[in-house]
Order: sequence, then C-alpha cells, then structure tokens
Amino acid sequence: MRVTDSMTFNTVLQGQARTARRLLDASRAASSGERVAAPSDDPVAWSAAVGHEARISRLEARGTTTTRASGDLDAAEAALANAGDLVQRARELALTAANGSVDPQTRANLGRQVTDLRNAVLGLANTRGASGYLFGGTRTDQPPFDAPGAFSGNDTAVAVEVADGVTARANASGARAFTAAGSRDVLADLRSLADALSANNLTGIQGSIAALDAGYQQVLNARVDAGIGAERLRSAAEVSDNALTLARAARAGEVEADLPSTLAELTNARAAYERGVAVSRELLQISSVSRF
Amino acid sequence: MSLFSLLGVARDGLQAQSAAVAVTGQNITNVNTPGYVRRSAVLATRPASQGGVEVVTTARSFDRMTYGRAVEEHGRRGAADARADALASTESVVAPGSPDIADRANAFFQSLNTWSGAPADTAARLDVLRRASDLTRQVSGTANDLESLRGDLYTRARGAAGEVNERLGRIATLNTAIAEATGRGDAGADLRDERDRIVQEVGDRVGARAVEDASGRVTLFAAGAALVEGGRAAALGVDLDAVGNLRVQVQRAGDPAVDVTASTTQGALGGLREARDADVPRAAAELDRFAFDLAAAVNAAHTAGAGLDRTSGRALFTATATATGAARALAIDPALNGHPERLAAASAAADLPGGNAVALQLAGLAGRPLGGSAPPAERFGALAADLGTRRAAAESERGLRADTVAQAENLHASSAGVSLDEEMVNLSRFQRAFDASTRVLRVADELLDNLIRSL
Repeated sequence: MRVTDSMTFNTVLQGQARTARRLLDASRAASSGERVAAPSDDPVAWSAAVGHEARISRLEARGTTTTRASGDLDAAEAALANAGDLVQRARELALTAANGSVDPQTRANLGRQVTDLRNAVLGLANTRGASGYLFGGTRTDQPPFDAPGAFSGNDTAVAVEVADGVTARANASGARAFTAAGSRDVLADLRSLADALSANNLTGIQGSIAALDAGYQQVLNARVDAGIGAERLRSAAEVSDNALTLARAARAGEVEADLPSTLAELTNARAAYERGVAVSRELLQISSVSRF
Repeated sequence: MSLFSLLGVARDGLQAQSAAVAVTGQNITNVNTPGYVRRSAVLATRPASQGGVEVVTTARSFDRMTYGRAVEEHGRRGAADARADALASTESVVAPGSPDIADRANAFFQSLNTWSGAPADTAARLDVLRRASDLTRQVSGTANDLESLRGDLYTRARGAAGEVNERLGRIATLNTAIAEATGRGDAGADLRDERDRIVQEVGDRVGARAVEDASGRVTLFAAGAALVEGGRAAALGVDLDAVGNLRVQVQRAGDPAVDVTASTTQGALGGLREARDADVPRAAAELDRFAFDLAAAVNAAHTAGAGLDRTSGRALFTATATATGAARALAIDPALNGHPERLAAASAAADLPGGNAVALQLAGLAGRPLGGSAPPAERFGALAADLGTRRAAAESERGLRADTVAQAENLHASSAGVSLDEEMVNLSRFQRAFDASTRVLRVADELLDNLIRSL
C-alpha cells in the first residue's frame, strides 16, 4: 500500500483525538470523584444510583419525622409522669384527710392543695409539643381540656412511617389518660376530692381514694404506652440510620470513582497523550523533502 | 537518425521532462487540497521514425471502487454523528445533572413525609407546594425542551436538505462541463476532482452512490432515488407529514414529488430523522406516561382527603384525560396554588387539623410502584437509563463509523493521495532526465558545429 501524506496526517489526528478524549474522561473522573456523570456513562449504574438516591431521600425524611415524633412522645411521657405524680400526691392528701382526727379547717386547706394539683394536671393535659397539643388526638390546634375539664379532643391515632409500608402511632392518647374513655375522668375525680375536702365530706373523701387509685393506674398505663411508642420510634430511627448508611455506600459503589484506579488511569492517560504527541512530532518531522 | 533529428529528440526530451516536472509540481502544491487526486505524466516514445518522447496524457490516479466505498462510509458516519449529537442533546435535556426530575421527585416526597409529621404546620404545607411546583416545572420544562429539540432537529434537517440541493446543482453543472471536456479529448481532471469532492459532501448529508458513464458524467443516487442524472438535478424537500414527522421528498422538474422518507437512513439527514422521529418521541412519550401516572396516583390520594378549610375532593395536580401531553400540562392545580391550607392531610374533616392519614399515603407513594411499574424516582431512572443506553450505543456507532471512514479514506488516499516523498523522487528523476536532454542537445549542437567547421 502506498503511504501518502494525508494518510499520515489523518492517522496522527485520529490518534491525538483518541488520547485527548481518554485524558479528558480520566480528568473528569479524577476531579469530580464520580465515574458516572450521565446515564450514558453507565446506564445500569445510573439507574441503580437513582434508586439508591430515592431510598436515601425516603430514609432521611423518615429519620426526621420519627425523631420529631419520638420527641413529642417523650414530652407526652414526661407530662404523664408528672401528672401521675400529682394524682398520687392528691391520693396521699385524700388518705391524710380521711383520718377522722383531721379537723375541717385542715381538710379545707388540703382541698385548696388538691385544687392546685388539679390545675397542674389540667396544665399537663394541655401540654404542647412540636406538632401541637399532645393529648388532643388530631385536634392539635386547641387545648383539649377546658377549665372545667371537658375534653374537646379525640382519640384518633396519628401515625408516622417507620419502615416501607409500616406505620406506628406517634401521639399519646389524652382521652385514655385523662377521661372516662380510659375508665376514670381524672380531672373530675380530682375536682370531686377537692369539693369533698372543702365540704368536709368524709364519705366523699374516702370514696375518691379508690377513684384516684384507678386514675393513677390509668395515667401510668398511658405513660407506659407513650414510653413504648417513643422507644419504638427511636429504634425505627436507628434502623433507618443504619439503612441510610448502607444506601449511601451502595450509591457510592455505583457512581463514585475508585480513587486509586482513577488516579492510575489519569496517569496512564496523561502518559499516553504525551507519548502520542511525541510520536506525532517524530512522524511529522520525518520527511525526505529537505534531503533532496 | 540524422543529427538534426537528434536535436528534435533532445527538444522532445526537454519538453516532456519539463511537463512531467510541472505535473509533479502540481501534485506537490495540492498535497493538502481536499478532493485532489494525484496526477502522473504518462511518457511514451514517439514513433520510431522520430525516436523522441512525448507526454501522451496526464493520468488521474483515481480508483472508483475505493472512492465509492469512502462515499458510502461518509454517509454512514454522517448518520451516526447526527444521531449521536442529537441523543447527547436529548440526554442533557432529560438528565441535566443535579437537580433532575428524580431529585425533584425525591424532594417532593421528602416534603410530604415531613408534612405528615406536622400536618397543620403552615411552613410544612408551603414547602410541599414549593416542592410540588419545582417538580411540575421540571417535568413540564423537560417536555417543552424535548419539543424544542425536535424543532431544532427539523430546522437542521431542512438546512441539510438545502445544502444537498445546492450541491446537486453544482454536480449537474460539473457533469455537463466534464462531458464537454471529454468530448474535446480533455480528461477534465480538475472538474472531476471538484465534482467527486462535492459528491462526498452530499454523502455526508444524505448518503450517496455515484455511477459514472462513458462521457464522465455521474448519476447520483441517494435516499433510494436518482438525484442527479447527467446535467439534471432533482431537489430534496423536507417538511412535516400529518402526524408531525419528517417527510423527505424528491422533486424532479415536471414530475410529481416522490416520498423517499423511508429510504432516508444515511447521512446527517438520516441520523436527524431517526433522532427526531424515533429517539426524542420515545423519551417524550415515556415522560408523558410518567407525568400521567404520577398525577393520577397523587390526585387519587389527595382528592380523598380534607383540607384545613374542611373541603374534600381537590386534586393536587392538573390532570389530562390521556397520557399524551401530560408532561407539558403537569402543574399544581390552580385551586391549590398559593393556598397551603387547601392541601389535604387528613382523611376526613373530623380529623382536622392533626390528622395525617392522607399525607402519609401521599408520602408513601415514593416507595410504591407508579402505574404498576416502579416507584416514581426509579421510574424516571429507567427512562433516563433507556436514553443513556441508546446514546451509548450511538456513541459506539459513531466511533465505529469514524474508524471505517478513516480506513476507507486511507484506502482511497493510498491510490489517489499525494506522497511528498514520492514526488521528491519524481522531481529528481525528471530533473535528471531534463539535464540529460540538455546534454544531448549540447552534444548534438557540438557535433553539428564540428561538422559545419569541417566543411
């Protein structure tokens, strides 16, 4: 085959274009740290990375939501713990007042203390969390208990997603903690005790002790439920966090460049480019024109 | 042979060698001229009675077979280049880097998840509307960009047809000039160089095959039709058919237009047609189905819920009756635009404002198959990966065609190209022969001089 000048130049140009392209690709991967920048770089890896990114997004959102919900349940548990203590204190006052030797004035004083305790329990039953009033069910925008103790909330559960397609309750039940829906209307029982103390009604005082026992147990049960719920959400958040780490690693495995091999490729590509330039220069210098 | 004849022989030698040097010089100066085919002076002895030398012709080292193959390969490369470029543009429209539609969808579902934890929170509601707006704008913007891209490809196809037509006219004119030159006994080498170069340019744009007749004229076939016959050129027309696809027609003077769309597979026009009417619509249709299914799934959940204003039955996205055009039309329903309180998180008015059953359901769509295939982001990922696969294949085809064109051009250049080394040798060869002829002339002159002096 005859070798003509255009063949030589075309070969040089082609070779240079090829090595320049390789160097560009290697530089891009080394500088960005990602070997897949567009679907066409590796369609399968790109598609898998999109799936991982979607999962990462879901897990991040789930982590935020469950953490926030567990915070509300922790606040509810703390409020119920305080409320339980207050009910227990009221029961102790009732036991003291039930003693026949206590004079009416002392009972009246104890009655005022019980009223204060009731007001404190009312305040706790109207505790606000990050998502509104904690014990109103889905009625989160207004205090669930008014001053007389009437309940305007509901017992509807508010759920959060803790795993794909799995939800868990994220609110404590104010209805079952403080109202007759749980068996005793705690605020009403406290009011009855205060009234009995003020009226020096020994029978009423003695009768309220059993009611407060049941009320205390009711608040305690609600507190346990809230604690278990918060623990479950924390556990779910931990699982999500672990899954998040795995999803991030999986995404990185699909699209991120392996550093040692990327740098090696960059070195090789640069060497190939420089060698190509040197060979081209040699080729273009070889000519018989000046020798004739 | 007489001494006077020797003078004639020397004269012939000088003329022939200087003509050969001129041909060599022409080759050297045209070493980089596109389409130039090297010439060679063909020397022959004059009839024995005279004994001299003459240049009988200047041969053009043209191999029609290797040339034809190079033209064909140019047509294939033209198609591969045009399609690969168009697919690169399509890919940059559909997957422009972060944020793409998958990122927007993730952000939207993330905002829904956050909102489900605080359904009455106005900031969370505003965030949902903002993310929904980002998503719909990205989807509709992508659909619009794909449509604009089709428009650009149409403009490029018309431009390519215009360039072809301009060249067809020049080929016809050159055909006529070559036939006239042939009739005069002139090879018309320069005219042929020019015509063959233009034929190759037509090949780049629409694919071509040229068949030469005895008079030196070529009949040019492209897109399954004869576009140039002798001195007559047809015109290539590009417009849109009833469904908006490219239509390529060949129009000869006095004849009805012939539809050659199906045969237009080569050259830039063939590549543009495939990209415009197959690749881009496929991506656009997938995007439409994605938007349609997304709107349907979101609306089905949202209409079942109640907003803070206690109203139910509102859609979150505008919905189309069919998938066609769904991506371009995707937007937040006007009734919700600017009204975060109308977003429905609760399943019933009784659960307001803290009920989040619908918000949870909406957030859960992120992990549920959309339209029975894959979750939203993954569904978009599959769409983009399909496009990426086609672009990768097109780039591979482009590389292959570049190599085959280089191979075919090298093969053709091997016979038609100029080698400066070779020409340097020829230059030296003819120069030495010229010098020798000069010497013959001097000897003959001396002999004659001696003869005259001796008389």
